[in-house]
Amino acid sequence: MDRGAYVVGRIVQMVPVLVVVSILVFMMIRLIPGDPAVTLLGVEATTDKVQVLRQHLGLDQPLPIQFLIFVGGLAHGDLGNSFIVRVPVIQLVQERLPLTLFLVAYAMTLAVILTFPLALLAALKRDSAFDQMVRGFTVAIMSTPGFWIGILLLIVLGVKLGAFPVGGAGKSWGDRFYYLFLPALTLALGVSAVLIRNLRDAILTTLNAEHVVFARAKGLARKLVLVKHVLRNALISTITLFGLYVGFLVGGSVIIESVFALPGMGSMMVSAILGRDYQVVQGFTLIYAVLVSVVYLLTDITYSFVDPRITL
Amino acid sequence: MRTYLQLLGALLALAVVVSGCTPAPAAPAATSPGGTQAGAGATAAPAVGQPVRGGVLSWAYTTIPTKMDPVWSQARTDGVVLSQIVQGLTLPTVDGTSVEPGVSDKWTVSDDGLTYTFHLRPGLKFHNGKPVTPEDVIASLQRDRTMGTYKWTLENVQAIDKVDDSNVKITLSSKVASFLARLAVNANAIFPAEEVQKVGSDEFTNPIGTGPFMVKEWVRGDHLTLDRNPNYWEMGQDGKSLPYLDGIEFRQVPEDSTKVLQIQAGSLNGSEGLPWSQLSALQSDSRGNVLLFPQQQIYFMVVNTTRPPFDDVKVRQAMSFALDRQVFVDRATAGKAAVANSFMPKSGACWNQNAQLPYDLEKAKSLMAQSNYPQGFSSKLQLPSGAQIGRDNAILAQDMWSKIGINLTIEEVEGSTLSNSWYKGDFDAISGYQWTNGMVDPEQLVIFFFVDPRMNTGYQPSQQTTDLAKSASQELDPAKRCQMYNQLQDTYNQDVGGTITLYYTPSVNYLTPDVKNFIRTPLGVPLYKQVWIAK
Repeated sequence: MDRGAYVVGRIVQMVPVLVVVSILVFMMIRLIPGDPAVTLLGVEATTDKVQVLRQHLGLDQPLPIQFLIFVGGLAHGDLGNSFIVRVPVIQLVQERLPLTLFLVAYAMTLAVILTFPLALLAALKRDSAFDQMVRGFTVAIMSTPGFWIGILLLIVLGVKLGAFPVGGAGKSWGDRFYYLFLPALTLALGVSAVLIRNLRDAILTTLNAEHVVFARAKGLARKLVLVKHVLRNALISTITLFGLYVGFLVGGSVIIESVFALPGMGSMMVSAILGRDYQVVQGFTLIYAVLVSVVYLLTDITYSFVDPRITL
Repeated sequence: MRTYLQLLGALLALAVVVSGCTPAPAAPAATSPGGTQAGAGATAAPAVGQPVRGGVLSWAYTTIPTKMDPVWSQARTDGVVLSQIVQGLTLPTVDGTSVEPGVSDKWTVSDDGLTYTFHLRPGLKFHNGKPVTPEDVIASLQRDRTMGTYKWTLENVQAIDKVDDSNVKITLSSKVASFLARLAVNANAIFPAEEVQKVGSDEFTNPIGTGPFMVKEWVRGDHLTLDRNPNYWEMGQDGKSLPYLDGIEFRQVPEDSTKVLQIQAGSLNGSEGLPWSQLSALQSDSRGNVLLFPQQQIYFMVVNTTRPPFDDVKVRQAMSFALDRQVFVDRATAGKAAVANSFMPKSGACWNQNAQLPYDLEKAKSLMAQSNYPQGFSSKLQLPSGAQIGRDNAILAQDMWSKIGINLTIEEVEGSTLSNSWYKGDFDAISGYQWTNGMVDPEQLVIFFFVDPRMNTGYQPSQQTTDLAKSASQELDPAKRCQMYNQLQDTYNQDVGGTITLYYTPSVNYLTPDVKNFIRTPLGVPLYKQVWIAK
């Protein structure tokens, strides 16, 4: 299939997915016990106070009406207003999404920088001390909680050495490379540990494949064999993992955002769930759904470039 | 060999990251001039040295304000920060037990207690430079009368009238002993009349008030920056107007450990509410000062008095007598709190120092024997998930109550779900909640415990007790009124009305040594206006 037609087809397929997600998230957040008005007012609230606030938030309307208002807003690109901070959800997305995307992109870039040389050298020097060290390192990172790695990096590189800021996102985009280095590294370490192991194993398997043995026997240069025949074939599964991790990190970097005091989407999503800020939970989930769908689409397209045998 | 090398690699990797974890060498505990390192009774010491003007204080809260309109705000941080920006006709005193002049510099009360005439502070200006007029007072109070969660504070107001260009008269339909205290809550702050008209039924996002600081930038969920109000009316020690600081930057830092690290790295000036378990370590670190101030805050447990077996007063009394509150103080708060003897906070007005909540295990056993459950019973004790202090309290109570035959299963529940269950009365027993006074007058707390909603525990005081609580609200003689509140505290202790109080907690503040003259009032409000940063 033509790539352009495939992309258009996939984008069209996203529409029913988003409709189902929006219905599910509307119902699910309301099925969780808890009332936004009681959560905001506290348990000592009187019935009168709760009623006043419910009315103020529009929660006194029947559920079908609330759903129609939500869907009607969606049709106009309006995700509603946050119950807690009383601003349009779309404004919160605009304020927070760029930071989260930057953090994820930064982390994935660092993960790639870590993964390629370490996986390649470990595979080429199989069972050497270097290989053992790399494998030990990945096991240690995988078995250590991300938030703990983050706090340790803060203590060592932030407080003790003073090389990086202790939390915060900086004021300008230029600052961000410096301020977000530690959180991005924390995320990158976790991701690269998995990617290194995966890529190392894939390279080892491919190194012994018939076409690689043939290419070597043919007398092709070692570098050419490595890049064109080994790496390109070994990359397929790593790209799948990479895509999955990007999707996961878009919504899953919340703990790191909390540890490093970053105003991203994840930290606000958690406070919205805890505070039963229905509109924010609905809006953010939809944005996550769009982003994850786009990431998976890009991953699929990347396959076709890496391996021409894969058709879209 | 391969396994050995892998293990070595793992250990080396861990060693790299752990090597930075060695605790800093213990340094002598620093004492900031703004306060003393002491227990719940700690008070601020006089400031040492001359104030220094300038600088921006950076301060972290777990959550920065989510609302900037005092009529709708509920979260504690909202109130704490709004107190720096807006002011009412009256203000809470520094000791948190009375009121002092605010937007109004003096007032008179008619003999029947129904007419209050407030004189506006001469020359007082809003942040925008506009002079404060009677029209501003009328527009602001009328707004709070008609909307928001604090309109009850003005429910007895019959009329608000302009007397002349400097005086406003408020007429009440019935006596309200706490009226001046009610005017001191943020919701009754004075805004420019045109701002009130402009905002209509919406919410203020950039409140213009008369407080020492004014809003510069508010990025929700990240930071809030305040500038000093150049028109502020209070004078500093140097004879010039407060505040000493050029501004404050409130930052949202959700993790306590990150706050501590930022203060120790010098990228943050201070924070509050750090876990009790960390205090000892922090006190021995010269990079920050731990300051404790008395606070009108109380930790308690609740039982549902509408459900058996907690509907049996003898069971509730036995539960109260079986609690050794000193053990809670020592284990859950590292000895920093004070044992509670009443539902009213210790440093608040009309606290009954003679009220009794003694520990007497034998008496507790005897009361259980006389109850409808002489063989004891099993029940469920819930707490909000992740609340360390709630868990500590629950575990200690579980152990103490097991000695009188009460077997409790501890269950952690997500916070909002638990709040909703409590509000609806769908619970047995709950741990992990605290109350902090928001008003300088005990009336609000007494109404919450005796009139409505009775802390949503189902407690049914006698009609005589409810009448006493209502009468106290109208008693204009402060001494008589306190006597009535003392009586109510004794009654609640005897009835054990669903809220079993444990201990009074001080506020915990952690700040860099260059922050001087820091004081947090018993209502939990820091007086940033008098803080300075040493050069």
